[in-house]
Amino acid sequence: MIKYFIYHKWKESIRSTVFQKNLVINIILGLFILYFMASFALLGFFIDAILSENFPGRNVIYVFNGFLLYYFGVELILRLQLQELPVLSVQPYMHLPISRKNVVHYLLSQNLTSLFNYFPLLVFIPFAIKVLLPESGALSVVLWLGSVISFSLFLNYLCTFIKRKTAEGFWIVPAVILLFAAIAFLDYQGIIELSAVSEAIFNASLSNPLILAIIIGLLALTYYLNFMLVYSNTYLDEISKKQKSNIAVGNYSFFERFGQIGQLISLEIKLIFRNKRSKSVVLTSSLFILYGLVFYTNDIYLEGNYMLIFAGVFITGMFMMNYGQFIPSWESSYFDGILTSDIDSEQYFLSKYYLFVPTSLAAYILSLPYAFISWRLVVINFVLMLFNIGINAFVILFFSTFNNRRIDLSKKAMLNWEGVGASQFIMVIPALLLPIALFFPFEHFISPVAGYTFLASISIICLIFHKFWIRLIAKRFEQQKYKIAAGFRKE
Amino acid sequence: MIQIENISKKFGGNTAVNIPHLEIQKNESFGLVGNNGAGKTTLFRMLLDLIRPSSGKVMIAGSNVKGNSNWKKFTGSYLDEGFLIGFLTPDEYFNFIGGLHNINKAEVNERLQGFEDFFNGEITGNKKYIRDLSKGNQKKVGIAAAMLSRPELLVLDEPFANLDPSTQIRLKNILRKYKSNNENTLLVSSHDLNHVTEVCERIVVLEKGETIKDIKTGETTLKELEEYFAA
Repeated sequence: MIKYFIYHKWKESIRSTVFQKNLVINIILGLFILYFMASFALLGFFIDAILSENFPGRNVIYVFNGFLLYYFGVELILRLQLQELPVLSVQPYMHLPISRKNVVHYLLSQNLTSLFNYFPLLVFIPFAIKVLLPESGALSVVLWLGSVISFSLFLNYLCTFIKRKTAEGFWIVPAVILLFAAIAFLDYQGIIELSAVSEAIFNASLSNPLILAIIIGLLALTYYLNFMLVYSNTYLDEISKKQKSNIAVGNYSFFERFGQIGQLISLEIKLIFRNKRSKSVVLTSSLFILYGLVFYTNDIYLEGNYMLIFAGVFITGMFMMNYGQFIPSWESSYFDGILTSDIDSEQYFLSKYYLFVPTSLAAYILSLPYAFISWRLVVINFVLMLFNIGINAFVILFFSTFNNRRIDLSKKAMLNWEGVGASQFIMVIPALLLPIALFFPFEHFISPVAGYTFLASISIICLIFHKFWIRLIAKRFEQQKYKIAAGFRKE
Repeated sequence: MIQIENISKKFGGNTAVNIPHLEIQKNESFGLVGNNGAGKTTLFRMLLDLIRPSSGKVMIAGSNVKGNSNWKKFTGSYLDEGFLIGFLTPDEYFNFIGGLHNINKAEVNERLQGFEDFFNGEITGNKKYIRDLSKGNQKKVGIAAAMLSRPELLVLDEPFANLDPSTQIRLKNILRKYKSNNENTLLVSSHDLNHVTEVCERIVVLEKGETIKDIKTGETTLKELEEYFAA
C-alpha cells in the first residue's frame, strides 16, 4: 500500500501543471534552490572557523550548541509561514478499501517531503563530520545528529499541529513571533539565558542518550497529536470545508455611485480582501513602505540620486507592481463572465488605473515621516509617485495584456508561482529603468534638480493624457483577449 | 437574430466546428443537441466572442460580434462556472450584474422575485460565497443572472444538467415564460432530449462540428432523436 502512496505522490509532483508548463520558472526556482543549498553547505563546512574567530578561546561545539535553540526558533517561524498543509490529496483514497489509519499515516508522512527538513542537514552533517567526529567520536555524532534531526522533525509536526488546530488563522504567525520576541527580549536583558539552556541541552546530547530519547518522545507525542486530530476529522466534509470562508459582507455602496467604473472598483476591492493571496499582496506592499530604511540609513545613498529613485519607485508603487503584475489573472476564474458582460475594455482598464492612483498616493502619505531623515526624500518620493501614476501604471497595465496564466485565488500566497510567466520578469525592467533613463541626461548635463523636474513634468503630462494610454492598452487587450481567455480556461 | 456564416474552428489539426450557414430567427427557441465533443460549447463560445473563429463570422442583430460590444447589451448568457465570481455572495453578484445594466438594487430584488421557486430558498439572503455553493445552486445563480437584464437573446449551455428534478421543471416553466414574449430568442444546448424537445421549437443536431439534422419540433421529434443517438 505504502508503495502506491509513494508512487502516486511522485506522479503528482512530476505531473503538476506548474512543473510541466513552466520551464523558465522551474529553472529559476531550481537555481534558487541550488544557490541556497550551496550556501548552507558552505556554511556547514566553515562554521567552525567563523565561530572560533568570533568567540575566541571557547569550544566551537559548545558555541554552536548555544545557537541551536535560536536557530530552531527561527525555523519554527519560517515553517509556520511557508510550510503547506497537505490536505486535499487524501480525498481520492477515502472511499477505497484502505484503512483510515493508513491514509492518515500517509497524510502525515507527506510533511516529510518538505524541503525544510533537508536544508538544515546541509549545515548539521558537515559540522558533525568535520568538527564533532575527530573530537568526540562516532557515537557522539550519532547521538547529536539524531537529536538535532529529531528536534527539527518535532518542529515539523508541532507546526502542522498548530496550523491544523487554528485552521491556519492569520494571527498565528504574528502571535508566535511576538512570543519569541518576548523571549529574545528577556534573553537580551539577561533575565533568562537561552543560549545557556541551548548549550546545556545539546552538549548533554553528545554523551547522554536520554536527551535523544526525550526529543524522540516529543516527536512521537506531536506525531500522535496530529494523528488523533486528523483521524477524528477525516470525513470528507470536514476535510474540504476546513477553510470556511469568512463572510465579510461590507458596505461598498460608496463606489457604486460612480457607475460602471465604480462597480468594477468595488468588485476588485472585494476580490482583494476576500482571497488569501491577494490579501497578502496588500500586506507585503504596505510593509514595503519600510523599504526606505534600507537606503535612507546609508549616507552614501542618501546623498546620491539613483538609489533614492529606486527606493521611491518601490515605496510609492509597490502595490501597483505587486498586484498589477497579475492583472487580469486575478480574474481568471470568471474571465468569460467579464468578456460576455457589457463591460467596455476601456472602462475595465480605467477601473484598474483608478485603483492604482489612490494606493500610490496613500503609500506616499505613509512615507512622509521619512522627512525626519531628510527633507529631500519628501520631494523625491513625490516625483516618483507622479512617475508611478503617470507612467509606470501604464507600463504595468500594458504588460498585463500578456498574462494568460490562471491563478487559483483560494491557494496560499507564500512561494506560489501560479500565474508567473515571462511578462512578470520583463515588466520589472522598464518599470525600474525608465525613471533612470528619463532622469539621467538632465542630471548629467544640467543638474539633479533639472532631472527631477523633467521626470515630474513628463509624468504629469502622461497623467493628464491617461485616457489616451488606457485606450491604447484596451485596444491591445481587445486583440489579446481570446488568447488570455483560452489560457485561463486551462487548469 | 443570429446569422452564422462559414464558421469554423480548428484546434491544432482537428476541426471542432464547421458550419457553412445557420440562421436563427427572432422569437425562435433553438435547441442544440449532440454528444460530448460535438462542438456545442465551442459554437456557443464563438457566438459570444469568447474564442476567435478560424474562419467565418457570427452576426447578432446584423452586426459582427467581433470588435463590437453592442450585442452584449441585449444578450444574456451562462455557459459554465467561468461566468461566476466565486468570492461574491449571490446577492452581491446579482447587484453587480444589475449595476452593469443600470438596474438599481430595488429593481434587482423585484426581478429576482420571479425566481423564488426556482431558487428554493437556497440562493438569496444567504451569507455564503458563490464558490461555496453546490454545482446545482451555482447554476441557478448563473441562469438567473443571465436573465436579470431581461435580455432579448438568451444563451444557455446545458441548463438542465446538475439541477434536481423539481428545479428542472421550474426552469422549463421559466424558459417557456421567457419565450412567451414575442421579442425574445432562446438558445439552449442539452444532453437531455426530453427537456430540449419540450422547450424548443427547432432542434439542430451537431456531430463532429457539423449540423447533421435541423428539425422543427413535432410529435415525432423525440423518437427521431432517440433513434439517431441510438445508432
